[in-house]
Amino acid sequence: MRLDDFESVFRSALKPQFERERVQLETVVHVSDQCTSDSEAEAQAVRGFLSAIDTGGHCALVSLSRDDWGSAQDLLQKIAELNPQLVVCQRHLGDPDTDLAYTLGSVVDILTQANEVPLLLLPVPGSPLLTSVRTMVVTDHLTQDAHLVNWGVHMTPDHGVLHLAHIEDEARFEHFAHAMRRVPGVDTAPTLARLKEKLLGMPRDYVHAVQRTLQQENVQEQVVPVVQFGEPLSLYPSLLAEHRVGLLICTTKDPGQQAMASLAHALAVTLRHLPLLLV
Amino acid sequence: MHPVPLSTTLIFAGLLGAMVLALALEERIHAKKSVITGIAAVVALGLGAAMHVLPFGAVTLANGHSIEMPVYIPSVDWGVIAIILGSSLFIDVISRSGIFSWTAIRLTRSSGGDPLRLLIFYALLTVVFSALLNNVTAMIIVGSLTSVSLKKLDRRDLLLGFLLTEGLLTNIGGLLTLISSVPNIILGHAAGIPFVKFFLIAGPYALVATALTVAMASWRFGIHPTEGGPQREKARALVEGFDPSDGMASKGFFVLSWGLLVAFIVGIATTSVIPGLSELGMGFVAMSFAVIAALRYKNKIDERFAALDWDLIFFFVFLFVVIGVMEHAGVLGLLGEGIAQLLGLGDMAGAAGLLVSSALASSVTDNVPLAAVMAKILDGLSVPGDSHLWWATIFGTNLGGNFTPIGSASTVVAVSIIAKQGLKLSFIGFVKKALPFAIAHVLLALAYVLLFLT
Repeated sequence: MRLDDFESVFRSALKPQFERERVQLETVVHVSDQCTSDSEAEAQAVRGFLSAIDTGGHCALVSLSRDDWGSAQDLLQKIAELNPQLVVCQRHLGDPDTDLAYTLGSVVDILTQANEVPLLLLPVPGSPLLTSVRTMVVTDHLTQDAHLVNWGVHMTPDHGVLHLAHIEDEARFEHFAHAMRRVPGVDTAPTLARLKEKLLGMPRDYVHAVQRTLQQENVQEQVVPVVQFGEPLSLYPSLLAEHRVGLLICTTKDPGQQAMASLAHALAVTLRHLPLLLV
Repeated sequence: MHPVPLSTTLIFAGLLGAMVLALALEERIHAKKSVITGIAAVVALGLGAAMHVLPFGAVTLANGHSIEMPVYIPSVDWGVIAIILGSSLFIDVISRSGIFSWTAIRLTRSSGGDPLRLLIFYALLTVVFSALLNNVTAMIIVGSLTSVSLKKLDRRDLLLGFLLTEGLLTNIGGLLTLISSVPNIILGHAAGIPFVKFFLIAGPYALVATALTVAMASWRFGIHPTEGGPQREKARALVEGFDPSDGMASKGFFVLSWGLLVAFIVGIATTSVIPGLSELGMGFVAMSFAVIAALRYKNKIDERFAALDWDLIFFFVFLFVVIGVMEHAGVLGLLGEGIAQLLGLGDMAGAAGLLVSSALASSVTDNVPLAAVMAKILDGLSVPGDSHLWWATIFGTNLGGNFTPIGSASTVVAVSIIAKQGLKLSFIGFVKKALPFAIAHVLLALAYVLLFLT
């Protein structure tokens, strides 16, 4: 009997726990690069969207139009002064061209990284901001990020459905499997099967922990795990369509600045017709 | 046995000394026990044949028949090998059901994450697992759980104290039953001590020594109860994260394993009083349970065989061969003369001397060769099976392991876990921390043997 065997048994037995943290929206800042009247129309849509989600809350929506801010630095300062819990804006904020693919624009990039406050990105002009009872949280990057999931819980209306998604990158797994197949002494097939089982088992355990906690706190939301192998960027759009999701939530901040450099950014520039909450 | 010249005896004594030294330096010379004793056995047999020390010829069986067999075969105590092999396979198979990890996790949850309660529960777990399984397996299970749970509780500052205490307690638990440690098996077998009698004599000592060790550890390593309601609640929530059923292979196998374990203990405990079974011995009982448990893995039992500690099993086989040669070479007779002088000091002083010298000897080398040599010597001196001298030797060989990190296999494992966890503990550092405990254990054993068993 090896030491490592039992360590693995006990590590596996140690299940993740979900710490509930209540999100309270008191002040929401809506930022626009349009004139005051156009900005107000957009703000109305945002107000409607938020009130459908946050039925019990009474948040104040502060709207900043083109005349209220100059540079990105200036905007960051204004946001800091207002101390909101959420910032809402369009993609390509402050950019002359609003239809560029593969980018969110420099101001939005800065808002996601230099600003601690979550950012709600509105769909591209022409796509309506519809309220939905179905929300999906992308948990691939930080499997046990309670902060992210708590935002998901808040942004899902009562009796709505919260999908906690974890897509394990098949290509990355195959890369390691390819190397493992070249290591003598490793029984490759059962080892890879067990590894796959654990990779999917850990996020499922976390979803179960979320379900348990929300049930204990009598939160009227249905939490659904979406855990599978695949190619995340191609799989997410089909999953969103399949589950008729109206709001996607991703993390964009981590110490290594990897989140916004990989999946969250790729999804954000791809899913242009859906509201995205970047936490 | 024909007389052997003293010069020949001294040559073989030198070989025995070299083997014991190599076993003590096992980690330094990067050689496994079985290889060391294997080389010693080959050299001893070769020298024995060349110097005409070995009695070649037919062996007379109990029924009066003679049979030709290699000279080294009768040297091996196959009863002891059967107990070790059978119980190792049995424990390995039933541990796959998750019964031991389930028990360990249930206790962790019951502690509520309180460090002092955790220390008490893990101490009891170590002692019971050492008694039922073996010292090394007990240390592996409890030590790995300790590392995981204290890390979860963010109390890595207590990890060294916990692991050290558990390492010391494996040798206390190893005293509890006849099959808890190899010295017990060898010495108890040689003295003919029944399982239940062994437990009844060793039990009170193990109980008091465990309580004393926990109290000392709490004081020396600053392991105190959690203060304050919110902290206590937080700790409780953290250990509640352990799922006892996670390691359970299947409910049926889990229940069956519990049943088999209870039956195994009852079977071993009653071997000496059941006619037929007493003649077949504990080795037969252990092997029978191993075979029954193996049915669970009947089509892939080779995997379970591979998981056995073959280094340990071959170590015993080769060791018995070496001891057999040493007996023919007169080395054991020479050592016996020294022991006889020690025993000549009187009933009390002789027993005390035997206990302390056994403890000191086993603190720097493996206690198994010591037990094997002592069993032959005490048997050769015709010491009766119910003599307190057997108990002085049993206590000494088991407790000596607590003086140094190389004193017993389980303390070696404890030190390995400590190193794996990135904690610094040198040889001297271990001795400094363990010495008060080891002295307390030996003093307690001395008092117990001299006051209650003499």
